[in-house]
Amino acid sequence: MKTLSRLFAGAFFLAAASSPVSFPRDHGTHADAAVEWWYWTGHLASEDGRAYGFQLTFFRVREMHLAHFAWSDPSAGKFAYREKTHLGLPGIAGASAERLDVFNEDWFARDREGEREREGVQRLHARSPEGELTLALRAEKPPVLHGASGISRKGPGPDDYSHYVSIPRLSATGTWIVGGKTRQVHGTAWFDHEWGPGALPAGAAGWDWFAVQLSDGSELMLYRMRLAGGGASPFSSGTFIPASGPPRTISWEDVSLTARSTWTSPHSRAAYPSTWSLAVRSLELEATISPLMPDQELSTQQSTGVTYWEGACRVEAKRGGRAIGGRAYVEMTGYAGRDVPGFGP
Amino acid sequence: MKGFALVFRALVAGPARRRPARVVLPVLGVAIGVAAGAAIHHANRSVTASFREAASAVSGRTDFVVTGIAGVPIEDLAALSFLWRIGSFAPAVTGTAVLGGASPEVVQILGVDWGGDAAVRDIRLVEPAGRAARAKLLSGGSVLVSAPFARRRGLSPGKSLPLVAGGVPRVATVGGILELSGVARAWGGDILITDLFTAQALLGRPGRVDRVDIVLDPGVSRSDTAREILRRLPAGLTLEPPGRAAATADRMVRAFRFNLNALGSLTLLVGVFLVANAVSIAVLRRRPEIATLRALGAGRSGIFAAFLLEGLGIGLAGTALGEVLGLFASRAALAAVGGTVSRIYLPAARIAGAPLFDAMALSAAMGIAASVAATLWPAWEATRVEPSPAMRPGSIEAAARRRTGRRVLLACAALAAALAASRAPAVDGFPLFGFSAVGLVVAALALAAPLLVRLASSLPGRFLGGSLPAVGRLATGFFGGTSGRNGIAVSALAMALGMTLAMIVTVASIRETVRVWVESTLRSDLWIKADAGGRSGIVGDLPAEILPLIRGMEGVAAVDPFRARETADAEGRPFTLAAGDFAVVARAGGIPLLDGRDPRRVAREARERGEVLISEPFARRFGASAGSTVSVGTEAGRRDFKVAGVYRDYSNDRGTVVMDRSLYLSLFADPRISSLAVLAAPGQDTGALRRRILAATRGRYALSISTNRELRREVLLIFDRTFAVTRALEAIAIAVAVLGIANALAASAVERRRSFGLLRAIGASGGQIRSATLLEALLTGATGTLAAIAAGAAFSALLLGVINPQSFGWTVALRVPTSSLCGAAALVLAASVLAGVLPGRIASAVDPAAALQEE
Repeated sequence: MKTLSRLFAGAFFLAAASSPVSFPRDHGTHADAAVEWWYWTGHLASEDGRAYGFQLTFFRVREMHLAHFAWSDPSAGKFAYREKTHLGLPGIAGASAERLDVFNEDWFARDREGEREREGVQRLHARSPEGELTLALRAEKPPVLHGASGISRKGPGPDDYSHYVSIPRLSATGTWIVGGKTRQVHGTAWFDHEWGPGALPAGAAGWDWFAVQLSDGSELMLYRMRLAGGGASPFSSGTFIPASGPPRTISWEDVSLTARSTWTSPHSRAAYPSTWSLAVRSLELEATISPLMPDQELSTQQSTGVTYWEGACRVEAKRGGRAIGGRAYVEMTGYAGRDVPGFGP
Repeated sequence: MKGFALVFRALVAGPARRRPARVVLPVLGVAIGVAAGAAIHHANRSVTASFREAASAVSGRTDFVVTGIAGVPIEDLAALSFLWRIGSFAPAVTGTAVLGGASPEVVQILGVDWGGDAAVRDIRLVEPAGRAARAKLLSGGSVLVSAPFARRRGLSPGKSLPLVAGGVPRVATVGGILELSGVARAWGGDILITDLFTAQALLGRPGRVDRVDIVLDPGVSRSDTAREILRRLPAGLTLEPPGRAAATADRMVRAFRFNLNALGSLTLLVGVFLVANAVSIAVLRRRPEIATLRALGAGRSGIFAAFLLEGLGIGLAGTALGEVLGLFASRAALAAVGGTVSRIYLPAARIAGAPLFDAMALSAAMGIAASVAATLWPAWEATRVEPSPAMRPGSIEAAARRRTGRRVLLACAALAAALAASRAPAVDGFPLFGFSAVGLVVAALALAAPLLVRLASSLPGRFLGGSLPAVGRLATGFFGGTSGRNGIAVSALAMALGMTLAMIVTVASIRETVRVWVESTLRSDLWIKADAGGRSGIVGDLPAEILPLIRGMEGVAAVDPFRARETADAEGRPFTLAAGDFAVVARAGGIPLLDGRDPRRVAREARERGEVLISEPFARRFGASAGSTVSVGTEAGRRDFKVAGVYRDYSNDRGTVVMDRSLYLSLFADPRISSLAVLAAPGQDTGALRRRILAATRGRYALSISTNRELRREVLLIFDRTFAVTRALEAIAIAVAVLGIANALAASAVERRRSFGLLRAIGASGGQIRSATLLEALLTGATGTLAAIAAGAAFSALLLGVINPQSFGWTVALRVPTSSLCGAAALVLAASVLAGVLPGRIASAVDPAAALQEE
């Protein structure tokens, strides 16, 4: 049985690998994938120097379209999020199969403003009672394909994979409107796009995901699949994108990751790691990743039904003995009881 | 106060204790009236409440609903996306399905935008509880059912649910159980809720939704937004307030409900006449006591109050009894009325019982108030009794006689007013003046009745002169001598019987008209519709691909696909838009035109010129006629069509515009079919053809096929069932009226004890007195019947000539079913003679000596 499934996995792997990823087509939706998401996280600052974090995610689970928008305001100690759920219907929620153009109600992400605008500038828009965010994102690096040819293995099963594309650094400019007052904001964003069968691998309890943007112009994506029995799955991995030159895959043996403290959510009672110590030996990188504010937990009862922590973090690091800084977004799932993300078939 | 107690005891409490039987009849009359009123009011309320409840459950918090005659194309939703900044919108697919099994039933299907729909409607799951299980609801093909529905049909999550939707057998899976709240309340929980795409698949209607509910944020201008929506929406889609659906459904059955209400009121009216009758008899009987009390110093107001209290007492007792009877009657009435509504008007409507309390309280108030009101006049009469001359009975009659002239004048005025009212047009499609005319005729009847009685009593003597036997002279004397009281009995009888006769004429005329119409309309040999679980109406529509399948079958000469959709004119008045194959009509006819032209030629020309035919109710309601134009909201905006002709139609009182199918399909992307009429090839056995069609479609489609004869029979069966409630009410009204005669006669007999004694003393035999009393009863019955025939003629004229055309828009050929009319009259005459038996016995049993002593 196991052999058979491995055979299957191999066959699928080949089939998937044989269709090369191309843009802008592959920023669009993939109807044959059961689960798909477009994920933006970023660090922004207003003109008065105030720092913010944002997360805007569009999910698609078969015909269901879901969206999350979270806004972190660490100096005020405020974290707020909104969610949306709809069937994919014109004017309500949907995604283009041609290019990046995904929307849910009046939240959207597009690769151009009007028909005539040149592609390449991503336009984001999301609105909640806390405020209205409008951003123009310019890619500073080309899209990165994670894993082998953009296929990121999550486990041993035939369906334990996803197509995974990132743009690890985009410069962001735009506005954040609160109570009729417009604030100019600018900063740096990260874009992830994943699609695939969407099943969480058997025996997995959740995952921890790190999107780190270092001040030396390099980025690091790390992905740890936690096993139910404890420890990291061998399919945990990462990608390092140097300031210039091609990205390279980081294997989990190369990584050591430890939680230095925990934070217990007053909402879900889940205990999340709060400050991380991270080392990647081959990069001579040692980093401490700590949240800008502890409570950046989302409990999305009206949409995905998943409770997770996704938040803006600061990074203090040493690269080859040299002190550098950086910013990160960290996602931690599967800590709130048996609340495991992923949509089973 | 002490004085009043004495008056009350002497005039009311004492007699009632001595002869309790006398108050039984009026109490019973009020009770029957209250029970019938409560039952009918409750049934009517339940119908309205069910429509409203279903509409409000489905509409939720909606501010506006976008609809289109053939639904809203899904791509048109994009035009509404501007709404997200100021509110939200939720599309929904609605339809009906039939659940098979031992007891087939019709359920509503509602397909919604999962998640997004929460902005509009409340959907609360009780099962499954776990998130993983709920996540499975996201997969297509599963439906949610309400808890009571699941219990009744033994459903639980995971079970498969075979159903027939639009004539196609399908299988859904029960995904979860809903709390009976929010939208699941619609139609008493007989609703399957699912995601929009599953609903489209089940109903075979991809690419369209039936409604879009719009909810605006607080503070957003409703009117500005409505304008903006209309500006952006493609032509052909309409924006409605959420109550429109309920109002339309309610309007469909309004005429039916009002007829029931009118009949229910008639029953109570007869009961009220009985109370008036009983109290005026009491006043007459107790004139000596009243005079004595007045001589002893009792005031007029005390006497007035005492009789009013009697009326109140009768009203209270009758109402209490009526409420108990009403509990049982309302169950029967609800079943009958609900059955009619779902059989004829809305096949998928489930009429749930509304709370009984309102109907009970209202009918109680009416019963008590009417009883007291009925006592006012007799009680006032009692206060007119002077201390001395009234010591002798009968002088009130003299007073009554003096007022004859005024009464006749008033009666004539009432009749004139009735005539004027019958000429007035309907008010908002409702025959308000027609019903007023009926009320005025009733008033004229009541006013003229004493005169009629006196006239009737003098006639035998005038014609027969001296040859009138002694018994006859006695009887006419009895009858005419108490014209006031007998007048009440006669008018009660005339009213009840007259209304019954009128109903007999009306029902017979409509039935015959419908029968003839069915003969000339139903030309096809077979009639095919989607399986409706044994219901008469249409439940769901058939897919278009069935058309070539049937058309291509051996033994089929022609197929006429019929499509009917509910729509409304620019002012929101509902009507039916229908499409049929005019080429088939051009061959076979079957649309009887009002002006008698050949429908085949008219249909052919209408087809060539793109004109429409309209039904007679449509012509009346919208003031259209052959040659004028009608406006229809199409998917390309409102368009005017020339009317080629007006045809007779008794199947739909909203009015129908029918066009050729090819024209319809060019205006609406709606190829589905409501029903199919099949013309068999010459010599083809229709039974064999039906078997062949069923065999060829088995498994793929679930069809219900009727032969021409079955369909005709069904039409008349539906008709008869509809009027079954009417018949029960008529029977009750007549029974109450006959009881009234018995009561009046018995009271007279008791009152005339002294005369009887005198008569016996001067040589009249007991047998003669008994015969005279029986004769009096016959005279009362006969006068009542004659008056009833006159009143019945007036009522028939109003029902057929005014009320029916105004509320249904139908032309009905008058048909007088002589034998049933004579039967009803004979029955009433016989019953009135029987009503004279007991009084006769009382009269003949009078002991002359004792009676003389009294004198």
